[in-house]
Amino acid sequence: MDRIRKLPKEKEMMELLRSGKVSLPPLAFRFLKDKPKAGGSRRFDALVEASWREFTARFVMECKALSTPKAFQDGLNLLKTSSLPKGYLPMLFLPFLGERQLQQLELEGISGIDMCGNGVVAAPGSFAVFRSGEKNRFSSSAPIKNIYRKNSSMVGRVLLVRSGYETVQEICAEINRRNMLVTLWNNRPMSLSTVSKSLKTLEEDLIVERKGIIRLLQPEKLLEKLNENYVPPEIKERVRLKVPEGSGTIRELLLKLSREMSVPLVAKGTSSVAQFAVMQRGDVLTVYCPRLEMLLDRLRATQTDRFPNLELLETEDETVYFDARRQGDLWWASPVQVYLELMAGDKRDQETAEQVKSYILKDFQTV
Amino acid sequence: MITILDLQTSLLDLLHEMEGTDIKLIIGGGFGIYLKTDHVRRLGMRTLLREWPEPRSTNDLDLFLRPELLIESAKLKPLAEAIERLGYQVVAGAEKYQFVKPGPDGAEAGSVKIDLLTGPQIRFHGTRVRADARRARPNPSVGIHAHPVDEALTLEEGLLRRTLAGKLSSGDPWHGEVYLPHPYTFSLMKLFAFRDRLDDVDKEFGRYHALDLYTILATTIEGEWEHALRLRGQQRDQPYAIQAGTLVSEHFSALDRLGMIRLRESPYYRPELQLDEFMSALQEMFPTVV
Repeated sequence: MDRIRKLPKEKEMMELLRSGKVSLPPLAFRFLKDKPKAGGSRRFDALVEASWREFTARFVMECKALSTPKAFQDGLNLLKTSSLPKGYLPMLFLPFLGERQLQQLELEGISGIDMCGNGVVAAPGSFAVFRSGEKNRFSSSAPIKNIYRKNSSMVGRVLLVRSGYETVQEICAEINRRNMLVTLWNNRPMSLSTVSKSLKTLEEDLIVERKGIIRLLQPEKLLEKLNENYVPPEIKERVRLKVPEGSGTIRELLLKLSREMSVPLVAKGTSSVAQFAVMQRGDVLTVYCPRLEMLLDRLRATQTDRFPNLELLETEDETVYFDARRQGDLWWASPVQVYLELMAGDKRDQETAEQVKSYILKDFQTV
Repeated sequence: MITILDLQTSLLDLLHEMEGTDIKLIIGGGFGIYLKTDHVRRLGMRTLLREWPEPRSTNDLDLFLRPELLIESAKLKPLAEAIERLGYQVVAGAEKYQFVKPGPDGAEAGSVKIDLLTGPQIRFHGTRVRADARRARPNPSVGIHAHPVDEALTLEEGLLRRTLAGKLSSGDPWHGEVYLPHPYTFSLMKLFAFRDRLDDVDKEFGRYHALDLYTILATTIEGEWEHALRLRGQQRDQPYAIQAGTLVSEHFSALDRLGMIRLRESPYYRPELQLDEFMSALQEMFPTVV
């Protein structure tokens, strides 16, 4: 394989695969088809064939241009939960796969290769290759770009739940305990180093102090920073449904399915407002879900834009599942998520956000 | 988590406290629009437009009092007593016509506000009520005032009666009746609210008023539309109705007019909304007077 230092684009990775420049000795790969269907509107990246001597096996390939824990987990989850074409096995393709990731893939029965010469490829009855130890040629030691956005914002968010922690480890454990994609969906937990980097910036911004304990100094400023940097979750798919309410409420049904399928289902922030503030809204319940396909199979519902009573949003953005609160028959978004979604809305939403803000800050003494 | 009362529960509490009186509360504002949308949706009624934005209301209850209640102020006493009994407190600077009930533990989160409003000042001419642009003060005083809304010319016309059923804050089931303004009245009020916020950055340039105006028209049912056209005829010489025609022509007559731009700027705007039909209906309801 070529020695590339710059992080490749997905298109470039696929081009290398297509031109036969990706291999995992003694295996060779042959490109078969581009963008095969993966169910619904989703598509995999390629169909490939791996061969060794007279043995061959075919794979459905999901390619990610990043080697981040999130990219790895997203790819793994997609392959685990999608129905594959008959006779094909699942395979992940990343710029780099570490030892632990390779072991996880092996455990899950999913093959994976990278652009550094590491991989685990198993075709039962034909061959099995496990190769690790090659260095990551695409590693980055850059600081986190924005600690108030996306996953790293969970460090700030957890400080708004409780203002003081003894150690970085304690914060890290609390974040992972409150992240439903970690506890229910096998996402990779946040690392100590991410927490530590985020805390450093929070300290530099005078939001946190570390004198013995790690203490939140300015909760209001933290909330402002989270708001200024908030980006709505990336929604991969959106479905509006009419669910018959014969044998119970939609919320009871969702809770039951969430339990049975171990799928985190959390009401959208704007659907959770009434848990923390007075606001009357339409009665379409909007719920975040990491994989729609699984849920739609089990929901006896009609897709419709006419008087729907349930809207499902597919997203693997961990922040929307973070610190969700179980109340009655559903998991509701955290007050911070509710606040951020309202602040991204119109004047009426922003007025209501003030109530939620007072709820979040009620137990803090600001300096 | 705390237990937050919703607006409907707060309103039911108020109706419960006034049981047996002949005070009819007219619900305006965002909650009035919410109740109207909920009403037509539940009954599956045919409406002027098929596509509606999501109805939303903040923690404000805009209660319109019929002018006759302020004129015969003794009739208002049960409302004043109910507001006090339910723990509402006066809002500084708007004493006697704005009240707030704090949330659990006295917090802002979960608080509910009441705004008392009434029809135009002109309705109080020749009565004992002392009315100016800010307040209508009943005489003899009963401890509450109401803010006059001069453009609400037709406040008592074509009210829609709605039965609210639900639970009181005590948990007991209860039902009571409220009234919703006619879409003609509601639209007039929203047009002027939009005009007042058009250049106000703090009030988001009136985007939510523009969206509310769409929702009011969208959820108008057939009988209400016919009534609106009759009201249009009756009010055609009234200065506020004439001004409304000018506002519609200036701001809501084409997609590139400011009102339509504001509407499309709203985070709740969806491409499915029937803007051409909306503009056409609004211009028919409030024509330009040459």
